[in-house]
Amino acid sequence: MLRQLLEKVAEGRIGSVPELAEALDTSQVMVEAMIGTLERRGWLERIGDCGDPCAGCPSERSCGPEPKGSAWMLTAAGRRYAAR
Amino acid sequence: MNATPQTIPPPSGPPRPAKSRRLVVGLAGQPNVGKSTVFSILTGLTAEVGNWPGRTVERREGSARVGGREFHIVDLPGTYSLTSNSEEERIAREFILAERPDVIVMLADAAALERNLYLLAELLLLPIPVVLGVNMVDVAEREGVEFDAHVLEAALGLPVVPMVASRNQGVAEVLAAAAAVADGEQSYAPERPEIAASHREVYEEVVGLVRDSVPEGVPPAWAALKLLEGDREVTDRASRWLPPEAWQRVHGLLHEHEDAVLDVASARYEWIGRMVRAAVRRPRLGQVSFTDRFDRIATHPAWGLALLLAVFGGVFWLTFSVAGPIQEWLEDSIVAMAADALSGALAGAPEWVSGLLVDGMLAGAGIVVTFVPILFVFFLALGFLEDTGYQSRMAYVMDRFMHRIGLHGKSFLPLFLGFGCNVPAVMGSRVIESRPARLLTIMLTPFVPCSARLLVLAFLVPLFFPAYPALVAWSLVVGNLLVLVLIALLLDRFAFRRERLAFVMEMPLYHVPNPRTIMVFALTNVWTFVKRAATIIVVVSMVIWLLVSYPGEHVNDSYLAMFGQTMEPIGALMGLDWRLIVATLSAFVAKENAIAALGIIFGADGEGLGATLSAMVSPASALAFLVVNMLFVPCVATVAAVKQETRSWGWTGASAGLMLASALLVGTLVYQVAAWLGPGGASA
Repeated sequence: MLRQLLEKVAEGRIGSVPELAEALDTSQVMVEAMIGTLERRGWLERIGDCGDPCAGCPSERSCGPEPKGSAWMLTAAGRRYAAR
Repeated sequence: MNATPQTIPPPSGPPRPAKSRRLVVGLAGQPNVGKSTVFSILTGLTAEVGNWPGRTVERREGSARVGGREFHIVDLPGTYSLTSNSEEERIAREFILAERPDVIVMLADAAALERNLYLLAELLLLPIPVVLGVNMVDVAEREGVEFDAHVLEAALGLPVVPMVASRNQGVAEVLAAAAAVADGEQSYAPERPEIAASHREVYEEVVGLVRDSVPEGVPPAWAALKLLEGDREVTDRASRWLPPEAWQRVHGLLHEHEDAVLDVASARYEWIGRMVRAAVRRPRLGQVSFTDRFDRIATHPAWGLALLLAVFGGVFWLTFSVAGPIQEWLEDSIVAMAADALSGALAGAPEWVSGLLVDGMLAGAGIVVTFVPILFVFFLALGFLEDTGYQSRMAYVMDRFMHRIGLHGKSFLPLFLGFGCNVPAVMGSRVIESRPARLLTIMLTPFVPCSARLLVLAFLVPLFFPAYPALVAWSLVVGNLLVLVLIALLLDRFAFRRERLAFVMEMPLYHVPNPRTIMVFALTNVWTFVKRAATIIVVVSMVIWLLVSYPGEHVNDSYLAMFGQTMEPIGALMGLDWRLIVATLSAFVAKENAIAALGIIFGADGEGLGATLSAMVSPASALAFLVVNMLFVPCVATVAAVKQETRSWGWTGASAGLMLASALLVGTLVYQVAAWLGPGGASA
């Protein structure tokens, strides 16, 4: 199931947790759990917050509202495993 | 341990004779499952805190007595798995393999069992019996998650105890179950995950190769799985445990089957799926299903984009409908009254002082301040979208769209932030490691209409097009985004290496927004804007007044007119006279200055700004002016940020040049087409 998830993410056609859960015929909690494993393995990288780039910026407070939720990007290692 | 063991009331049911042997219990679990609460309840004042030998990680242990039986409880570090990814994971598995507790009590969060059972799948491979305490069942119930402990117990083949540790429910029971398993009074026949068929053969070969060489206490099957998982610590040790020939063979197999780790982890998740299928039922009605249903539209590739555009249109409509009349009232009454009062107060002052303050500062910065209501309503709408959870869908839909035009997965955040302000958005591009992808994002970010540009739009569109402001503003934003897409396609095709990276996004549930949160968000942004108006816009307004008032009597004889007139041949292509040209140029310092400049230049005729503009600027020129202001070189702060992030004057010049060229090209095109279609020729 983890392999299928990695492959789905690598395909890039769907990228939201609910859509992935539907595609894999499982629950969103399960997809979130698998994303956690992929992240700890270094195959996905969390990119979901503004973080340091905004720190100290004079326009920080006029910055648009941050999108809530989390986002992960497929890493080079993840891409390599998905391709195998 | 010298302290007296903490005595916990025994679980309900018939009393059982106490056993004399003290049991060592390892308390395991992922972070945030209530392990500390359970440990505190069990050990109380007997708890001792030290460090794990040779490590900086805290080791907590203590004693408990339940039903006359004494337990020694060791709180293991919170871990997601037992692979050597972290110090905590190495400590937890070393404790189990080296110190051999009698039983492991693993705690799990009832609302997220799927996430927690991964650790259980790993614990079951070790030679210590495990009891599962499913904590926070009350929270899970409130979230609509139904959990059947008996079904899960039957599926797993080990004791499962529902718990609410915060209310001391199930704590004694889980320890009693642990004692029953350790004493052999309760059956323990766990169903363990198996590796997928595609790698079973290689797994069995590795087990055979390591069986006679692993140290006592390390299960060969566990060691083989860890090797296939690429566990660095076990791999290092295996090279010393195994004879050279066996290690050569294992090493070769691991290299050949590098992807076996996927099958090992996949098998665990398939096992988790089987275990929870009958035992856990998640809600199908209410909030969660509303989120699911709405997301079918909100995140759909086509409908999601349509909804996004409709929401943008709705935000503009609301802004103009609610705030427009208030803004007009402020301009007609408060600013006019302030001008009269200030003129009266400065009656005896030199003419240039009166002009500078009334016609310069008040006509410029004052008129900018009048659109505080527009700003407030606009940010209320954005805050609402954020607090309901929809904004994440906006980001997702935009990202998917961007992805199709070759943008890096990480570009979505900088580009999304660009709707607020381009400066942090350009700075945010540093999260992208790849230089070509980062440069592409930096080049595109200034094309995202920032809040200042949107506000200039929100202010000027009703003045130029009072009959249908929302439609014109919406079309301009959509047009701006189309230009962004076109530029992205061209840059991706001709200037940068095509690099497509996938990403996945977890979105929050939709929920009823909190009015206070939205209000704070809107007020914070309005206050930031007012501070800008009080500083940079005031200064620029006064400078423009000076340039527009000297040396001649009439505005057409001013320094600013002389400067602007030198550019009129270019401006004529877009229907812009010198006044509209200098208003556009003043926006380079800060975008809002375009309004201040128009206020000073056109306000000099004594009419209200709206009446003057509609009388003196044709619709085609007005449209071209708005287009040029949307696409023109970004503010000086953004240019500085581009220089800082690219560390190149060449790329900074290219960014500014690209925007300037786009503004001139699209502005000319819009003006010529609009003039040809009929809405007026050159400005008066």
